[in-house]
Amino acid sequence: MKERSTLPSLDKLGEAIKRFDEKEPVGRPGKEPPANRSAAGMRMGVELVCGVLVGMGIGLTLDDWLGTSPFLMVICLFFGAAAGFLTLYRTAQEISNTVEETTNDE
Amino acid sequence: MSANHSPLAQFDVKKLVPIEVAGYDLSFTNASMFMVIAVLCVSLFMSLGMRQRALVPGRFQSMVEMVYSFIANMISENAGKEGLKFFPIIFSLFIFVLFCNLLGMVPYSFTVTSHIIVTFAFAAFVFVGVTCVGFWKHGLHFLHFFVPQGLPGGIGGLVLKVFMVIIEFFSYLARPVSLSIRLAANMMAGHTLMKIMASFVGVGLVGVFPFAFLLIFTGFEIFVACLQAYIFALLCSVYLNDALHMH
Repeated sequence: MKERSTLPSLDKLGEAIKRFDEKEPVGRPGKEPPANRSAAGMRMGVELVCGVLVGMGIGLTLDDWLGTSPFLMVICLFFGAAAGFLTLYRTAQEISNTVEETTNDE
Repeated sequence: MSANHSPLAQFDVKKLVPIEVAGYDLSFTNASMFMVIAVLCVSLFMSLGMRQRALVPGRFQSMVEMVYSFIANMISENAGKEGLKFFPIIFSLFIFVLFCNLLGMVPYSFTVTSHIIVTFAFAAFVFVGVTCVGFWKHGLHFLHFFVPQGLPGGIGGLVLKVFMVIIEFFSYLARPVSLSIRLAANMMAGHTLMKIMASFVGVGLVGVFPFAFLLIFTGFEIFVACLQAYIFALLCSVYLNDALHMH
């Protein structure tokens, strides 16, 4: 019985819920979880390396096939690096878009 | 002794039941065993969680429902309503990779996803599937995916266009490679580092520091295990979106 008197009344609870509901859109909990940010960061590093690797792989295969070693490998390496940068740029753009969206909403 | 204590010994694939069919080595290895265990765990998790079918879910059921709605939301956010048609495959990939990663955190277990060939098989499967979806949805028009818009006309624009198409094609081909290397490298690096750190624990009093590091790092590794499974599923749905809606 003693405990019951210390509990907040239902009116107070209703007020608290109302206050929370008003506050909710400001913080937007769950809209952009921190895991998303770290996911974005983890994605970026590998993209660049993979572009170069794929470029080199294609170049070596073509060289083997056409017997133009090592010219196509060098050319494709540069194309691969460019492709890596392109993916990197797109990922960064995507991230900044989502960040802008969340800041505009606030 | 030294062979046992190599930080890379944990990634050795051992034959448990040697099987050979028509010259191909189809042995049942420890990798296959942990894949079977992962599938069993997933089935157990899903079927136990959904057994009660309560309107107000219990703990297990709400865990299953959370995973379900998490992936469903992720797909509809990244690939739209049409992407939800592909929910079963993305969900299966996510939950399998997640369980393989988490099972790898159990001491003395084997991390299936630390092998590039496993993750590359997933990634190549997704890559081929997404490309097929693109061609099925848009026909040959899907090839326009490689042609960037808004380039100037004339000879200069044409040369630029050729260059851009090659670069776009390369970056498209790099997708499965980066998808597989990211997952495998993260799992392998984390587990190797843990093993190396663990070997420093037994050096006497100073071993307290690597032990403390290991304690924190184990938590971080569990986080990475979940995060990498999430990234894998996220990128699958992003690629799916590219195939469904193109630019």
